[in-house]
Amino acid sequence: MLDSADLIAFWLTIKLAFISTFLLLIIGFPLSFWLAKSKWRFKFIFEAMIALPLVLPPTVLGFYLLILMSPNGTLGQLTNALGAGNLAFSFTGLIIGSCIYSLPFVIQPLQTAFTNLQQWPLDVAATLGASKSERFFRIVVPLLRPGIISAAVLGFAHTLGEFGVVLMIGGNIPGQTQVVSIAIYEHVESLEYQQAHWLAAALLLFSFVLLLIVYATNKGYKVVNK
Amino acid sequence: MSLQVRFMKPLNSRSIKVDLDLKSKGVTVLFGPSGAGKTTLLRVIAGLDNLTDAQVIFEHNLWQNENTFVPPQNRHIGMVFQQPSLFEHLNVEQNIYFYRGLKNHKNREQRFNVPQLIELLKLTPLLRRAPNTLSGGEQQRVAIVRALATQPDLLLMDEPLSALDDELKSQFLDYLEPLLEQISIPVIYVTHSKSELARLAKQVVLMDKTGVTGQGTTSELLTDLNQSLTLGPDLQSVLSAKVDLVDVQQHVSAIETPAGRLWVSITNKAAGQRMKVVIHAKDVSVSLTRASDSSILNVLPAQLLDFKFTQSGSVILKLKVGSSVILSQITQKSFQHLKLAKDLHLFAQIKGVVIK
Repeated sequence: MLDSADLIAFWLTIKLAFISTFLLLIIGFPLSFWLAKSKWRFKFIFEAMIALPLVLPPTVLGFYLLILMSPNGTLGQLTNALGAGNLAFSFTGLIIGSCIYSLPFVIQPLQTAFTNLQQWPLDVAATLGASKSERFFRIVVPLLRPGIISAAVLGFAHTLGEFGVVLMIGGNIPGQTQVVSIAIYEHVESLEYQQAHWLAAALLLFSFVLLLIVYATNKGYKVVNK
Repeated sequence: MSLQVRFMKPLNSRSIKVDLDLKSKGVTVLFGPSGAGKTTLLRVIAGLDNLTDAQVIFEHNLWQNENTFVPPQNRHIGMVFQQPSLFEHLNVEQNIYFYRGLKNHKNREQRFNVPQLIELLKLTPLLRRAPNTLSGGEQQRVAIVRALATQPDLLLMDEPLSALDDELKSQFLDYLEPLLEQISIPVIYVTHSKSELARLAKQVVLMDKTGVTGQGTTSELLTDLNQSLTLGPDLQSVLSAKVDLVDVQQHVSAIETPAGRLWVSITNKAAGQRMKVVIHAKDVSVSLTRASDSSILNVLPAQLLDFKFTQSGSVILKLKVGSSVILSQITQKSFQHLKLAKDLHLFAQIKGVVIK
């Protein structure tokens, strides 16, 4: 069965995924709105930057983040000066890494949803007497709902399965940076296959149940591959 | 009602100029070809297009001038769009009751009874359906009820039938005509269809690619030979009528119109019922004396007010018949043969009367 160290890793993983997803949605909403609606000539530079984690090996991303977050790095110096301590090998550092790594997975469905959002429903709602905020909550949000759900599920699932970035910037500190994927790796390295099985199966089941719930409550909406 | 709209919209090669002052109640039709700025005019009235220098005043309420712009949600208008416009994330009932809970809707005077409207447009069986499962005509019926449910002071309709095929159009007009006659608020209706104009309009605003070119009551404009409106292929006159008596044995009814009493070959309307009749110009011929040996039932004394030669070799006659004006289309040959001239007294022979 899962021992207490495994349970801690499991809990840490879910906490990391929840916090990252939450932050990603907050960052992703205005960013994807801007990407969808802006006509700025050099917008493509930002699009390319956001898409980088899709093609870059996680170790490369993790390596640069580690350099930045180390006590001599720009980010590390800043956090130390602010009295926030080191980011490298900390849970906060992991959250920052996850957000950067999963950003394109959240941006892409949101940007598609914003692009598909047409002007006419808003015009119609205005003629029916809906104010700006009423239009936002009664028209914009419901029409974006499939995109928001897609973005949240993809961001969550992707953070859940993260390995390379975590290993580079977080290392393997139980209770602080040891997530499930790394715990499984360690069990396999030390030939504890039984333990690895339990943990892998638990993650598999959890992910599947999560997707089941999302698909069952959003019949007709595509969650992945929009 | 009183509505004043003034604006200028520059386009690439031309500009649309509108200076409109509407005073009368009932249905006003904005009529003109596409590209004439009819939709723009409607959107300016609604507040959906904010053109600089536009001025809109409705019932002494300033909606727009250089310093003021009242947003659409505060204008209390109802609008029915050209394309189906139902919210896809809501079912029919939720679409109709969208106004509920909106700040702007608090304490509105209840002019229209929403359940009655739903009943009138036969939407009860559709209430739980999703918009994308409805036909185009059903969607537009929902859109009309949804617009009226907000208890508007003014109803704007932008070619609401353009997405429907011809058969549905005529069915839909059967719903729309009595509804628009009953409702107590002014209606501005955009169309480029002459039959919609003839059936629905009390007065007409004519537009072409430069803006507003004329305005007047429907019967005046439909028979004004100097308006481009009357030069189309399907010339017709529209009269309001009331069934006077029904003769089931002979299978005819007599209807009372401003032109005089007409016999029509229908018996399915009851005496006293009101309706509109259309007389196509091609179905009206003229003679100098009353022909007593003709099979044509409807022969009425007429006076030739005006005439116009068309490019296709025929002549359009504008005839005063009773207290109304009827158009007749004859050949140039007959025109010369009969030596027709203005103010001549004639007899109009009406071959066909179409009941709407």
